[in-house]
Amino acid sequence: MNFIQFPCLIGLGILAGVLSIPAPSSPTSGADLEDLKPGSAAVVMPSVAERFSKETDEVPDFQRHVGPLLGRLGCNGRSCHGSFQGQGGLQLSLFGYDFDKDHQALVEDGTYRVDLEDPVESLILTKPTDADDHGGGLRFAESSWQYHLLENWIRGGAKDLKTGLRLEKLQVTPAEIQSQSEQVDQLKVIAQWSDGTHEDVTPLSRFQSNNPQVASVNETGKIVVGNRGDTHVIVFYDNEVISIPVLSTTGKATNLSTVPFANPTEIDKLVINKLNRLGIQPSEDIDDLAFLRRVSLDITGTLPTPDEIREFLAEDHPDKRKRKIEALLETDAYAAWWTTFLCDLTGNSSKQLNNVAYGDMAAKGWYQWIYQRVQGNVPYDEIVRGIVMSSSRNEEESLTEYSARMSADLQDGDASRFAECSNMPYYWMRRDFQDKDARAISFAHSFLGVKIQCAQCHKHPFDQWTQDDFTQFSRFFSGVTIRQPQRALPAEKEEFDAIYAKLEIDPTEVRGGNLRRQLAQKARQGNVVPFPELNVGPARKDREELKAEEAAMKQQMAEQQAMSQMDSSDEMMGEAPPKKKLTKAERRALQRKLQAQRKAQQRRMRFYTDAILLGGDGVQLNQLSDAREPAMQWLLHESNPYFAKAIVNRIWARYFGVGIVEPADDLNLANPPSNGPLLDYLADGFVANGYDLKWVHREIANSQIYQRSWETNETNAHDRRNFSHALPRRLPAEAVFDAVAIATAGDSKNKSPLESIQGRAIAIPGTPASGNRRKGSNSMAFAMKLFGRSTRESSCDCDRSDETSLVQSVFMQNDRHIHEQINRDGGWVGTLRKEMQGTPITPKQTKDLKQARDKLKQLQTAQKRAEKKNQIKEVQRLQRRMRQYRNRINQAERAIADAEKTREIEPNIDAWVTEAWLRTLSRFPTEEERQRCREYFADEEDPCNALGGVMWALLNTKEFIVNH
Amino acid sequence: MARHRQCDGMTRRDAIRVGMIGSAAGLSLGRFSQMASAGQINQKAKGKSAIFVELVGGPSHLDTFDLKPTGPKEIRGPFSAIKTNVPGIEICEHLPRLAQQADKFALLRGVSHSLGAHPLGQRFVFTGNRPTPSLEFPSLGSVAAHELESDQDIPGYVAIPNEKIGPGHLGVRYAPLATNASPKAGQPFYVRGIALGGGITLQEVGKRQSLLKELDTKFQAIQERDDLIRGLDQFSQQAFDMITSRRARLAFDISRESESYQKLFGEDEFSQSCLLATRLVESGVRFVTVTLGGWDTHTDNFTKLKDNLLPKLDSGLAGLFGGLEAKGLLDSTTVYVTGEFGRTPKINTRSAEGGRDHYPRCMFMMMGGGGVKGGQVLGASDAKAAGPLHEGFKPEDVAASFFHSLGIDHQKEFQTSIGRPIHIVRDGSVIPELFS
Repeated sequence: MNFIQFPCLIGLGILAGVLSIPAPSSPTSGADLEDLKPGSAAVVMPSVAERFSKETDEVPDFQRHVGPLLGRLGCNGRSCHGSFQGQGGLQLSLFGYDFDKDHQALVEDGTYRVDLEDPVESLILTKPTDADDHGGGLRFAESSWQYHLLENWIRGGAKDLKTGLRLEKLQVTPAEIQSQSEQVDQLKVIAQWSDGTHEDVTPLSRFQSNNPQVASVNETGKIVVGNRGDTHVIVFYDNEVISIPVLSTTGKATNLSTVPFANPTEIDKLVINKLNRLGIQPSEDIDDLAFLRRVSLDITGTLPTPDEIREFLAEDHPDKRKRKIEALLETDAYAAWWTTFLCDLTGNSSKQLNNVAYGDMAAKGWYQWIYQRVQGNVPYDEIVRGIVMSSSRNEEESLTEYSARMSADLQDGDASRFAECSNMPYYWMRRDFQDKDARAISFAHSFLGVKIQCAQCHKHPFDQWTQDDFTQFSRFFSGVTIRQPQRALPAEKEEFDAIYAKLEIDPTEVRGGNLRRQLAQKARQGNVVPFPELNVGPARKDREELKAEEAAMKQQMAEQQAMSQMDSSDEMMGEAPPKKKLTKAERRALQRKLQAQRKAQQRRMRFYTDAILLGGDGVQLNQLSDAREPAMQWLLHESNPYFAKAIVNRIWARYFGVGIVEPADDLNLANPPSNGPLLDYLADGFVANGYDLKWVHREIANSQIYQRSWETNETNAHDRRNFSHALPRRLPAEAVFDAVAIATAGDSKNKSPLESIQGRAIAIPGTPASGNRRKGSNSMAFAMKLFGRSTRESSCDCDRSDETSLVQSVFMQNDRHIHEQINRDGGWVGTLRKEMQGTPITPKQTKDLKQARDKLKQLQTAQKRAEKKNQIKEVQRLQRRMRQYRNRINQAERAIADAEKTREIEPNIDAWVTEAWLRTLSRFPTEEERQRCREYFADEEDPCNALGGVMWALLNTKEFIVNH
Repeated sequence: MARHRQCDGMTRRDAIRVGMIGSAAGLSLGRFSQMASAGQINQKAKGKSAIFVELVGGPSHLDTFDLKPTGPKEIRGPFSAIKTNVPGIEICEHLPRLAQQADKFALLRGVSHSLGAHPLGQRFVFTGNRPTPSLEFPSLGSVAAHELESDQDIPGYVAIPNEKIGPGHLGVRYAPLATNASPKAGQPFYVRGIALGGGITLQEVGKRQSLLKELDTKFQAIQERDDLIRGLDQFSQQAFDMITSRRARLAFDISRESESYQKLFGEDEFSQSCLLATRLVESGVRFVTVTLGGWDTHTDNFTKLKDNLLPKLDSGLAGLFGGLEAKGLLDSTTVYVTGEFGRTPKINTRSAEGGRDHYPRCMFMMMGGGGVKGGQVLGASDAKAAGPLHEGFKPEDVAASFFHSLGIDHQKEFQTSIGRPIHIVRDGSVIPELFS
């Protein structure tokens, strides 16, 4: 693929320099104990609680002490003064970290929050001590260190000490807690500032436990270890977030057998390592039947057919599971299912693509573009680059060529040409991603698995992101604009006019939806019409930001002018020589010059000069023609703590029902991985293997831990985060719908759903799942909604739901779609019914068969011709057509053969029951189950009705709808 | 799971503590609480159920409930105002039957917002929350389904034929049972999933169900422990109860209403949907959404209204209020009627007789029953119906009031799946006059 190289004027040197600063965000935890060893040079200041417990002259610092104290006291909480409306007139920045604003709010004139003349009358002392009626009640007592600290700050002038100090490091001890019995620990937090000071900030830090049942923590940092299990205690100070792993093995000790794995894979070792420490024994291995069902559903979203099951059972090869995984990874269903996954991540929504192209072509193009790459196992970084760095036109493509290409795509209704392009521009064209903030949120969600939306309005409550981090980061996405089809780039006005002239449409007359409809119609008739397109330019400010800045500049200029007038009048008063009077022409020239300067400055002002990567340092933007480039480079840079982890974690979550970081799209410092080394192993291996997605699938599916039962033992019954057993998961919406279709399909259709993805729910491009007028698509769209297919609406993996609901059960039990699927003509039960009754051959069947045979002959001749001429594409096309006709002929022949048989068939109930079980539950029925079915059949007059009833019951078992 | 903290990192206990402090100090409920404590309004909710009528497309306020008979020609349109059964309240001449029910509802005029595109306006008004790209707000009905309990054998939330918004962050569990079709006068009505289909008899369903029970034993060992398995089990049982419930089946069978009752309604699908809504509420459904679309009258506004939309609206809503009263349900059922926005006062000239375009700055809404004081007009638009005359109401205020009538505290917080706490209605307050 051809991409513009990163301009050398920025240079990788600078970028690398920027990125080599240790990212504070790497989600490892704990303190660097080296620095805390006794005898180390650093002298640690005792904590403020000690220093201010009695009278002292020390004046505390706003950033280091006063701000954190307000946070610790809860003053800037959401329901207190952190509320966007403020509380009792005082508004602090939510969760702190906007030091300027908070300082302003406290020292604001006339509020008496801070009273420099009579410090003890300051409201920030009288309110929290409840001397003055305080909605928030008593927060500290008058003789407390908190009181002294605030009092001394006021006495010292209530300064916002702009010391320029940065928090270099936060060290927490103990860095890890492992406990066999109920135990109490006290955390100690040491801040290391950029001037070398070390200070005990324990009383100024906030603490929180991710699972208080395993470890509770109080506000002073005292941890009480409880139930068996593991969790993290999170420590917050300044913008640092440190997680302390706590592992509790309290309760009954278990006699653990040694590693119950014969040949553990790397994943197995890492999981077992953790389980051993927890005293948890993993569940048993599953049998081949359970393995096949699970792995087929996970890799391909597809239920195995009875044939596949028998074939797999019959195979006698030590590596047969491995070979099955390989085979599944080669299927079309794999490509379709994981394309759907990537479409979820990137947000392929028909609804949001309404004005981006015509009809549903954008959603289809998006799906097809990814599908082709997943099928070809294109490295993930390349896929992402094609999306992130996209623009609508191919290299050197003129407006006319672009319009012609897109118009042809629309006319053909085929996205394969689009999928060949190196760019997939629709990502940035979504209607709801039109401002840079929305783009930043989406980018962080799609490719980083980070939720930065909190920081759009306030300091992120669990992560290091401040509002400033957010606005700085969003600048990278401000250079992307969409040109609507009624507008032309100035340089292309002629071309543009020529296109419209041919169409006989005047875009200044026909507008909006009407214009779009007319253009779509013209394109479908074979004309070349203009399309919306994604243009890329330098990072630019939006209108409001610019307005505000211009106003500020004007005011500044006005002030300067006033000043200079004053100066000159001063000069006049003195004896300075009078200024030379300008001639009219000179004045004009000067004015022109000034105006030109102002214009130039305004032009410059439109663009951002720099931006900051999340957790990184600044990047110069002013010379960049595409500001997304540094963000893209950063994604792939080895220091990026998110990119690889986000995707491998999400894939893992699909196999285990829970991520190593859970929720899988919420990588943040306060939400550390349950198994850090495991996540590192997968992420590093993924990168080392060239971002090979199939590598990840292979690693996971081939691990023995993936192939463990959902049935638990005494030690692992309560584990839901360390992968000691399989978690039953409801099938995803698409898989449910397809599984019903596959389980009830007639034998001919039942051949290989792995290779026939047409009409499958796993191959729906956009969302909502409508826009597809095939028969039955109504039911499909309906089921997708009921079962929670991703709405792709809110930059959250939770847009997909695996919850259960009443309407889902009503659907499975009584929707006409389910009844139809069970009983349809050509379906399994329907075919058996027909066989039992016998069918006459119709004249149409004979005629169709003859026609199909004739056509096949024609195609064969044509193919030979094309082969001779070496027209590879044409040969492939003809081969596809021939396959279709061969299928048609096979079907017709079978139908006729069936009909020809004279039949007096006795239903073979036992065989039917076996078949029904294989079709739905992918296993053989137990003797008890068989017996129950025999009774059911005996009770029904019509055996086919009885079979329908059995199928209904099986489709409604939990075993069917759950991946286990 | 304990993982989800609140956005400010407080534990649940902290939240309760702060909440208590907050309410003790009288967190500003504003005018509402002042009036309530002064005994001026009925604070106790009366609504047990609700019927929400979505007028999709954005109905013209000027041609329905906010006429300007003396306004300039380029805005007023050809329709005249008629008197209602409440002195001083006038509505469009093409709503004569509804005019006779004006004592049963309150009209809100000069409701105002700023989102003039259909999907955005709908997401705003039909959720009571201004849309943001990072969070999907649930529809009013999904919130109610979350908050109000309903019986085992009857769905809690039904949409006729479906609704626009969905359950948002509350999840599919709170989605409505959509009928996917509208009932037709004099014809039996089958609801997808509820009516038995595929020629299957009740007896057969029973037999299948007992077979299912015996086969469905795989996960018994973890049933108590696993949310998913337990959920599947409960919902499966409830679905069966509903499918086989006579009560549920009859609830959808509008042909069982007496002839005199049926006559309260028109024969069009919307009126029949309103009839069904009253029947469902009577049967124990807690929330029904009824949709009437077609209000996007950019061209030929007046013909479309006069010939098609207004007659339907008239007979449907008149039937709804009359029917609820006849069943004795008006006091316990809140009816809320609204579109996503109003339409431009100035009549455009793109078609022979002109049309009106999207106009969120000024619209009407209607609420009645459920303790809402009927026979009044609240708020007003300016002389040209171009904006609220005074401060105007926000969609959030009306949504907060609607929830209030159902006994749902609109300031209650939900936790989204990322642990973000979010009020039911983020930015509104109850309109006290609705309940005074």
